[in-house]
Amino acid sequence: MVTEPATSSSAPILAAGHGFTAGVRAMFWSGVSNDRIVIHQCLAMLLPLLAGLMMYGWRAAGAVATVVLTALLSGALWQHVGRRGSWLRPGQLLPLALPVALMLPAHLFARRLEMEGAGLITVWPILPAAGLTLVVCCWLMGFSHRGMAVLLTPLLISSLFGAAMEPQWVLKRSHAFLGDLLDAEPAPDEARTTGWHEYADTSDRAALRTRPSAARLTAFTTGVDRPERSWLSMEHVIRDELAPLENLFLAGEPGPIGTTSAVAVVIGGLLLIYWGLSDYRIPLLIVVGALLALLVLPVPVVVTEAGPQWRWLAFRADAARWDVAVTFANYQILGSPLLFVALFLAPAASLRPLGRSWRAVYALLAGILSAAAQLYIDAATGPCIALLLVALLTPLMDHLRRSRDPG
Amino acid sequence: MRDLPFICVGMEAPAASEPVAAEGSTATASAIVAFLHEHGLSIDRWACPDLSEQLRLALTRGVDVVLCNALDSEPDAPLSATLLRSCRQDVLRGLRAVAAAVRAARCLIAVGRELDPAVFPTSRRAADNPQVVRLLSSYPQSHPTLLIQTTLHRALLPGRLPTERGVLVIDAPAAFVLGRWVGGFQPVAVPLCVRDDRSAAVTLALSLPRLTVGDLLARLGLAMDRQTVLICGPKLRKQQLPREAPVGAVDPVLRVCRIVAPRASDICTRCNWCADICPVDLLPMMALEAAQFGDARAAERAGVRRCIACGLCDYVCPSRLPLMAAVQLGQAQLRAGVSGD
Repeated sequence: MVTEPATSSSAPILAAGHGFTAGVRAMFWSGVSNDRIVIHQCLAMLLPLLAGLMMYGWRAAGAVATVVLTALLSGALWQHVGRRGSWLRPGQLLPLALPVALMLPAHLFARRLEMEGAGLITVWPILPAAGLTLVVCCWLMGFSHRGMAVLLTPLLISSLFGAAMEPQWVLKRSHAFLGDLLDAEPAPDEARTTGWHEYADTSDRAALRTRPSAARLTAFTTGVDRPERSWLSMEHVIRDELAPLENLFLAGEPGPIGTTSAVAVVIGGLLLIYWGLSDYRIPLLIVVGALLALLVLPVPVVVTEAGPQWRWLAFRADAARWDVAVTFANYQILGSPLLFVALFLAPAASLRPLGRSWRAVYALLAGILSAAAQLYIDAATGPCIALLLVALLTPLMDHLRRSRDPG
Repeated sequence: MRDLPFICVGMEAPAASEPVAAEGSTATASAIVAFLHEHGLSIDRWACPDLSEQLRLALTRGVDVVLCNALDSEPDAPLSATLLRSCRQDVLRGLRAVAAAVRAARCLIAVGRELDPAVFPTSRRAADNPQVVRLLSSYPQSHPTLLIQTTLHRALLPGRLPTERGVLVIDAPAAFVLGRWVGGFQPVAVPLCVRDDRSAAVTLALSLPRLTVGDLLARLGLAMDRQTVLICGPKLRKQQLPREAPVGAVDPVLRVCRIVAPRASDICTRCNWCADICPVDLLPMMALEAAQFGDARAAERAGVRRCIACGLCDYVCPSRLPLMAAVQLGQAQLRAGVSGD
């Protein structure tokens, strides 16, 4: 694994030493510069951002701007700290700060917040803290591991400010883009069962407050929600407690700004693949690996007052059939930031291995571990934890990479 | 050669060949080497490593296959394809003459898939001589290391002669020259493809081998100034050519290019595009780092020995880093280390 970046100052020396004039070198070049790559990466993230702005309004814009600006300002300071900081320039930090901002919820763009079970919490420092944490992580980990910093930042922020991090708000369709996310009323039963785009608004409040699917899934799979003198089946959770699947696929679910609309994330990711900035095999294998693992790994098909009843191969259990098991897996994939992580973060060069075959191993491992982390730790942070763990193995995979040796 | 799309430079248009029988000629390897030497034909280039040396080694070590490399490195300079379409008999005669001279049991000709199958139908039988292999002629497939790997599944380290693996590689222009000589046609003429990138014009020419490249360009009406540069071979290799070089000693694909204003390199962003595109799986960014620190062991780990100098890493690098130069520097460091030992 290479540890330090090549410096620009060495380039002319090498070129001059080998009889290439700089002009001749410049003649045959693809024309795809680093600036163009950054622009394309940001353009691809524009779609999830737009979906977030639609669902979470101006607070989402404020949250993204706060994280990005804090990161850029911190970078301007930290780039003077030692040699490690020299690369922390706006062009390098922008594509790192943007995904971090998209993985945070929009309600953090507020001064204080009344959170269920935690009382009044001061939340305004969280977004600047995220920007600063990203830059400090980048500085500590170095340029080669900048992808790790992107994964680590939301995890650190979640663990530090856990009580304030659960997204519970989403704008009503009639207040999309412009409404105040925190001007909310509790979601009525009708809002839970009908799709976001179909829900008929009767009050003048801008938003609905409801529990996100990721939190409900985590509560079910970890056995936190235990019914008294009764039992809770997987089918019951899917039918009565989770939002319609179309909310997760299109829009209308409380969640992080950029990860909730699966369709926006997928289109953004496909743009990256189309522009040649991403290897399509990685997201594909991550999703396939996660889907298979979610069908195979032990899940609680029923939760009783005594605790969850775990079953391998849930689709073969009496309490959960094929359709229930597959729907449950779909909820796990769409309710978590798995698609965002798979399409925007996992293919990053600073995380993935060099060898193509090892990339397949990396992606499958990330998918399987993500499913396990979602089931047994937390659906909202599981994909980031999984990718972080698998990325730690990347140097080993690069070491084991065997080249075709012609001779 | 009035019916052929070649402009004759410095000579009268020679007569076109008539189809001849497959048995060809009885030229020996020594006679071929002497012929090359006598006419100043130094055939040592991207698609055909040192032909004279290959012939010498073939006599001592023996080869079982003669492989004609008729793939064009770039579609905008279709010299081999034109030779196969227009002078197939000359190419085949030259190929058979070489095969007979080195007593090779098999004779292969690698042609591009885009070539009309009617010109060169794919061989169905192993007994066909030469056996036609159709390949996707995407750059850098025409490099002998990749060509031998693809067609014969034999591994050849770049920079080594194919005869080490029992193969003699000859490209279509060289086979054409030998075929004309064996057929008794005079004068000895070298086929060339000159592409002017300023106007995208392609000129196919036949020239006397001792004519200089500068004279050739002048006679073809291609003016050069300080803003233009002449390169030979695949363009991504950026191999500059002096105008005094004789036509018989250079790669037959010449390119007149306008020099572009250089732009400063950026730092390496670890995008790994160079490693992804490398056809021989080396790590150019690691070679650059090794070159910076003069670390021969790191250069070895980066795999610089395997480099075929195709220049694809330079082409894709978004930071415009001199990766090919770094790899070549790493190779030089390794050579120095070996000789120092």
